[in-house]
Amino acid sequence: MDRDRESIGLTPANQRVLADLEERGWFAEGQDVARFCMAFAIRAKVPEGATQGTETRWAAGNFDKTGEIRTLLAALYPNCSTPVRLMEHLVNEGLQMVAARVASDQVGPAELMD
Amino acid sequence: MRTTDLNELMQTVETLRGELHPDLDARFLEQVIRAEAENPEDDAEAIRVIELALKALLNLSVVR
Amino acid sequence: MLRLKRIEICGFGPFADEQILELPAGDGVTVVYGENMRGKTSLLNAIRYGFFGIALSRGSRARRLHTITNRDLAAIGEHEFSVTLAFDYDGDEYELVRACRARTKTPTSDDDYEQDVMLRRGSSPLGPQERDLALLQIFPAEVSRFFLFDGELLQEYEELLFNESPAGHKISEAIERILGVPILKRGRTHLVSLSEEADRQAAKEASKVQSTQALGAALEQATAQKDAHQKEVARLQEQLDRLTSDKSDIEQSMQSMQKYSSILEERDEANSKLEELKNDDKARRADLQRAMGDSWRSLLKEPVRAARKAAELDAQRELDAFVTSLRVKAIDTGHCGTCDQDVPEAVSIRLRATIPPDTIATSLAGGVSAAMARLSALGKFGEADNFGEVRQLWKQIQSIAVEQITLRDRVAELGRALADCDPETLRRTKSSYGEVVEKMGIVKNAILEGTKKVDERDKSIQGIKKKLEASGTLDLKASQLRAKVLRDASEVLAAAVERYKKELRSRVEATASKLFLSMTTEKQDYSRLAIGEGYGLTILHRDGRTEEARSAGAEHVVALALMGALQNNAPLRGPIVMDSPFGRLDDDHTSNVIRTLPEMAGQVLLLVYEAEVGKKRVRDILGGRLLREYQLERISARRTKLAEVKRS
Repeated sequence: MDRDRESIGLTPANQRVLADLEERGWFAEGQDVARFCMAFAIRAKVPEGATQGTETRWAAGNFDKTGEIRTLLAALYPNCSTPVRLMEHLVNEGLQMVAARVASDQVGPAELMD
Repeated sequence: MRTTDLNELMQTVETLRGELHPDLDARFLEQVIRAEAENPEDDAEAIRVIELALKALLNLSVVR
Repeated sequence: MLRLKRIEICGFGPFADEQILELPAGDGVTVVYGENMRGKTSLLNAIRYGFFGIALSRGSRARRLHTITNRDLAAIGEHEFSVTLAFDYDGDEYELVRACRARTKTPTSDDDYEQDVMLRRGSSPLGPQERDLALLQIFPAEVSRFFLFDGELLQEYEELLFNESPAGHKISEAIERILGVPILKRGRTHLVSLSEEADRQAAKEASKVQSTQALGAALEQATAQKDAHQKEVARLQEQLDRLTSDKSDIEQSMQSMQKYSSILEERDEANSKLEELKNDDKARRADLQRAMGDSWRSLLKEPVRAARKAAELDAQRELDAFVTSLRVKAIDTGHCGTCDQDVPEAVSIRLRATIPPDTIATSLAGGVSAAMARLSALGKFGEADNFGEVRQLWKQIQSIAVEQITLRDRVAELGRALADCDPETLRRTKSSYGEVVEKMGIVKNAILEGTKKVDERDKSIQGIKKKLEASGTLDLKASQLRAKVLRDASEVLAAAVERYKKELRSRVEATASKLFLSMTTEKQDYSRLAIGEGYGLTILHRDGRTEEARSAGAEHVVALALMGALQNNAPLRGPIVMDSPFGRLDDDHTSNVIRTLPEMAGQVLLLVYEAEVGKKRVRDILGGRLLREYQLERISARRTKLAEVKRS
């Protein structure tokens, strides 16, 4: 069994995406952006996976203070044994998807949630 | 301004004299009006003429 | 009444050589025809210059003397000009000569000229003081607007409708002047002043006599107090006059800055609104950030529900499989592991019937627990649904952004419009206006208070005087009589001012109405003119309604009606000299005005150009009331000759 990660990292490209989304002022902080994008990816049924080449951004204990996300991911992805790695993957995938959506359609936060 | 051109003005004054102070001498008021008409810009001269008219009136009153 | 007999002009305007205009005796109209730039206005100005020493240009500004000299003569170094007016007044013949001589070779200002004025009554020239006094009596400058006028001066009449305007006030005062009201006002003022002096004198004398000493002293004191209050009221009145003048100056300033004032106000409002929007935007964005912090939960609402449903199905399936496996075991072993009983054959057969075909025994331990564990985990997830809130907030933020852009554009546009003015000056002017108005209110109240105190002192004085009259000596009685006569006379004149003004207004209204109806073409619709406190005239319809929308032509006719009415009702009467008065009138009105001219004044001098109204028309309309005609004939571009028109 793979060892799970202890931190959430972003690829260099996704660091820029995160910065861009933060710049828009829709979110109070970067973690809110990340959680939103993670949820966006889950809603889009992104399958279990792992993202390579990430640079650490947040400690998992900080990102998911109550363990609620880990518990949720275990329920949504029952076959996954590395929930933090999954979390990281979903955040990165979500950032890419949201960036593509925002760039192509000039959408705002309300449209992202539709 | 001619005295005769002041007829209407004099008439108004005379009517009010009769209403307010019938014992006041009508000629004195006429002289006041004439003094003002003939000295439109000269306060001192107008007052002097009025005082003369008043003196004449009071002398007459004393004589009476 | 003043009646012009002869006008001699030399070197004035286009009249290089001496020109003489003789006005016939008797009532009627003398007409002078002349094309544009031939000298009609110069002729009017020559009369004005003769009486008052000034000539006016457009906008009623005084012309400088060196601009009056004939251009041809000035070109050869001759800068002198003169006007001689021969007239009758008060049964006497007068000749007034006013001449201007240049002190320098090429005069450029009024200081470069010397003016000589000579007034002869009969054959005797008057000394300077007597001359000035006589001219003031015969024809005061401030009433000249009612005798010498052109179309431009007629337009000033509109100021009368706004009596609060400085110009409107000036005209009202000029009308009262021509009607003789100042005679009564000044008389009252002088009598009051003399009466107060007489009161003080009487008080002094009373205090010298033993029997009336106390009363005399009381009277002196009360009189002194009254004087003090009156002085204070006078001081306050002066202050109020200054403030009124300041207010008027500021109003004029504000008027000229009016357009800037409203632009600045709009810009300030827009900036204020922008500030509000900025704060709204900040607040909305803060709300949005808060909402978006939880929005990941809203995004997961449906996936979690779907997963929960799937987990429920799995759990149910696992449970069903577990129950089936228990039944299979019971059938196979003939013993139920749950209740620890043997299973009878009949029950076995029944149980077998409940087993679905192709059933595979399931691992019992993990299956149901895993599904239930998933359900439990999904159940712990804190759901949220703030789609609506985020949508609403985002819509508000976008709407604010659009409004901000619109307002910023507007502010920039207004800023460009304000480029020529200093907003600070505007703001200071506005605030000065407010301050002045406030001060005026305070001063007015103080004047009211002061006047009350004066009246109280006066009552007290009257009471003391009554006592003195009963007890006084002969000398005292003489003083008191003098004071009484003056006081009574001042009361009569005070009452006369109001009564006379009222009577005059009524007479002027009646005459003006008659003249107006004679000149208007709407005789069926209009019934009369109504005069206001400030001598402004309104047109009344037959049904009693006021004519609200007055055209320029109507204003013209109303103004002419007022001029004629003043002439007819004023103690001060003289000739009317009109320069091209028909500018805004149509043909019918023009004919009506010409026909009515002889009713406006005994002597009328009309200056017209023939395209405005031709000779034949004038002759047909005026008939025997047309006394004489003159023509301004062109000699050159800079010289005009005045020639009598001989009728065959």
